[in-house]
Amino acid sequence: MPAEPRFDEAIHAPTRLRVCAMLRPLDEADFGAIARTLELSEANLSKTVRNLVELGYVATTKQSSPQRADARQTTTVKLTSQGRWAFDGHLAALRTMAGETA
Amino acid sequence: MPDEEGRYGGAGEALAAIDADRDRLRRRSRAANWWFFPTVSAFFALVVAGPALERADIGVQGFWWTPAILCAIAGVSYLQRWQTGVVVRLAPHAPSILVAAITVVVVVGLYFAALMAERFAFTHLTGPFPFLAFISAMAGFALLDRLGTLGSFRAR
Repeated sequence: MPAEPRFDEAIHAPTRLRVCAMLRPLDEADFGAIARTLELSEANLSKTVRNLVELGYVATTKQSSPQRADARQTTTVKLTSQGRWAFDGHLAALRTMAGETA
Repeated sequence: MPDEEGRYGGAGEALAAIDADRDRLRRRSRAANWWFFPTVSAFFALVVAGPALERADIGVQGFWWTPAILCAIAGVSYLQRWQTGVVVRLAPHAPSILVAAITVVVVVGLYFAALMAERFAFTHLTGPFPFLAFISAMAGFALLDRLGTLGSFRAR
């Protein structure tokens, strides 16, 4: 069922929108994989993820990684159900707007 | 491009940025998953060879492929997670689901072929049928891969 259009100012900032868009078809993604795919600096992504966590749109977990021999943990990011709902609505709003202006 | 306050000029531009990111994600995923097709092909070759090995008394008796299927699905999921750093939401076109579905088709096809051969004494069918079933499954799998279905990032 298509989502109801709801423009969300909190998501519309470019980096937040791109992070949410990448996470939407995924269950979860490594912090590093997001940074590499979206070509964002770790500092920028960290700030964006922190903001989205505060909004309740994404959740993070830390876990050990098979790719690391040391004790450091990798951060895994996933969209919450609230985040999916907000993103779907925002995307529907963008499509509506693009259709109106096209 | 975003303006100086970080806002996109329009909805179309934001949608284009999302599409570009997803294309990049799909390309990276496909490049990282180069092993997927040969691994699954080898797995299906084992499934098809299983009954023949059993007849020759060098295979494990019974439905030996059940644990093999479960291991393969778990292995595919784990390797993809390790290779790409992402976990795709479970969807009908997710690779592990496709592997399971095609495996079931091949195994059930082999089972009914064996039944038919025994019931109607079509002994001449037992030779080529497993091979044809394997080729058909591989052709279907290659077609899905060619169509980009296995990219699995088309959820938008």
